[in-house]
Amino acid sequence: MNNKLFATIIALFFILTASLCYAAPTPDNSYTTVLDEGGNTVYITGWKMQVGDQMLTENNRRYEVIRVEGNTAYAKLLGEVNLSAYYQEDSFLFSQLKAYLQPLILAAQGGSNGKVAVYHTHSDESYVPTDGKESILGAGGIYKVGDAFTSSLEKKGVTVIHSQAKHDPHDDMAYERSRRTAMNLVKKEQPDAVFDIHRDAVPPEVYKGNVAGQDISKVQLVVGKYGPTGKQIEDYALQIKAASDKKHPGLVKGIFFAKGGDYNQDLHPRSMLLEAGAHTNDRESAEKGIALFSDVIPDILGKSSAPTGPNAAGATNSAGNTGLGSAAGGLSGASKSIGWILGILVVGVAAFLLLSTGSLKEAGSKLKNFTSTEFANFLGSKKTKKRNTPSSFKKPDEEQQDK
Amino acid sequence: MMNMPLGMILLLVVSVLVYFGLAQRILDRMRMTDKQALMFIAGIVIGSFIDIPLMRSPMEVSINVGGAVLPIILSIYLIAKADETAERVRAVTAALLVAATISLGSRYLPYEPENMFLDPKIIYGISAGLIAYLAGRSRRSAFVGGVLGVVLSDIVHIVTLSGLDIPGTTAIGGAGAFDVTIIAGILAVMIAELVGETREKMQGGPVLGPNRPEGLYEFSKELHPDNSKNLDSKKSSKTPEIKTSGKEDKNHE
Repeated sequence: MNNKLFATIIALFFILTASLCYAAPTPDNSYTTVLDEGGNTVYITGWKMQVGDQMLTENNRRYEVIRVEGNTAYAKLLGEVNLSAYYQEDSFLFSQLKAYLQPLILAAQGGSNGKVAVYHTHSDESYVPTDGKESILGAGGIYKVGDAFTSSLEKKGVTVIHSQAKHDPHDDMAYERSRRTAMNLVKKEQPDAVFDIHRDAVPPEVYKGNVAGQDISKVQLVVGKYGPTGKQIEDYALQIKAASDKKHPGLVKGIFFAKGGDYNQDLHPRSMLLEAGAHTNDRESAEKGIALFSDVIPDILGKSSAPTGPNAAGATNSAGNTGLGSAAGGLSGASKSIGWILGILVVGVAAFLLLSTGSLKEAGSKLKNFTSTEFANFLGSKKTKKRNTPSSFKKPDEEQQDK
Repeated sequence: MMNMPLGMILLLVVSVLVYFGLAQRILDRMRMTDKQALMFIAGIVIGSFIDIPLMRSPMEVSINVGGAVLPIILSIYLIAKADETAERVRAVTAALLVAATISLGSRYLPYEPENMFLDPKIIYGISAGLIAYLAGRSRRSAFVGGVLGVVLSDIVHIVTLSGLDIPGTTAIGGAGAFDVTIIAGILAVMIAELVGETREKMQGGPVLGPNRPEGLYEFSKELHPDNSKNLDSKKSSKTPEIKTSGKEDKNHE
């Protein structure tokens, strides 16, 4: 009876709270300033920081946050990253061969220059100078920035699927809702790369830049380091930065390595979160910036004759470029990620066995029992299983009547 | 997709194998045999490609077969097959509590996952596990709580959005096998398992050796030599001595 009462109260509470109004994300205008050991400002972003977050600045210095006080984060320099390891020219012979084969490759791929999927997790994000508000639920200016990215890519022969799906409100389930959009894009379209386009929330000068003779808003890359595939995405982001530095120096403002989320980057090995300018920049400049950024995409996808690096996310066809790593670049992010997944699996299984059985010996026996009986259940016929395995007098169905 | 280096493809294969392997171990605790659990996973994978549209206006709502319909059917089956009414009430209560946690949590917790100590998927999976364990003390109600909790929170989301006239799309279970619905269900069972086992451990754990309670499976014959004797006697004669052999019922306790 008590239980029923409890359930009713919960249900009522639930219905009542559901009718409450959603507040639009509060424009508290706070952003994080990252200071190095000498007290110099090295990075500014709207992202809140945690100890352990890292960032790569525009000039490729990598910092790690060691202390956070309010909106100020104190970081130590981890070192300068040599991005040239992520961008290597092909040998003369190879590039000749590639140029010769390019029309054939294109024909084999149905004339397509790759396929890219674009979506927006925060559908409300807008630009104050042009859109009037920083947040317009369901119809943010960010979709127009996505359009600019799309049309610029299409001019390069890349097929683009620009999802118009909405994920409002701007709350912490937004990424879970956009996860469904991202997964849909991945499974229906099988793109070569996926981009989730956002905008940052900082003063205008942080993103303002002049690249290729145009006044633009720069682009920031965000890597979610939370999932085990984070290492792979980190590699991918460095490759993008390397290619972009080569083509349009100063266009990528930096990379933020957030340890707190995966931003659905576990769904595709070439997923990236982009921030095109901030809410204080005008949208046209963000559109110009992201259009310039699209120049880099064919390189990244390995679809142009331009090469990619030693552990590249690009084509498999350059010598030794299997994505497993190389002598020059060390283990690739993909290999590290595989290592993490398998490591966590082994530790998890061992911990579970120990906890559930109570002793090493018992745990070992359980494991042995698992390999002999469970797989017999899958693969062996019932008859042979009955004769050969130790717990033979048990019907498989009975095994499950436990609780 | 075919233009990927070997490392990336290997990573995909490994992560998918590990994920589905784990899911299979979890599902075979849900009144399913190993084979049925495997079939169920195949169903989820195939069902991931099927979306059923439910509503076109004022907002687009669809439900994914693999990511929502199948887990919902399994949850309802588990509730229906529960031994007592109290167990059913507890499972439903767990689902309601989880839905309330997600709906309120997503509104009042920081809106960037970065500002939380865990990814929302994980947080809500873990809270589903804890809530369901506290409410029902069972893995099955943990699974039901995780799955139905997320689905209910989606329904609350639809109601809220349409009430406020915000344009939006909701695809319940839309990410298929990788949707928060299934992840929450799996995590919830893992948490219930972890909490349950730890609690048992802290209370001294199951007795090993000759005084082990009847019905508790023991894996190493060395710890309890009687077991192996029993096994032999069982094979040879038709009158098994059950008093010390726990092999009739299996493990997952």
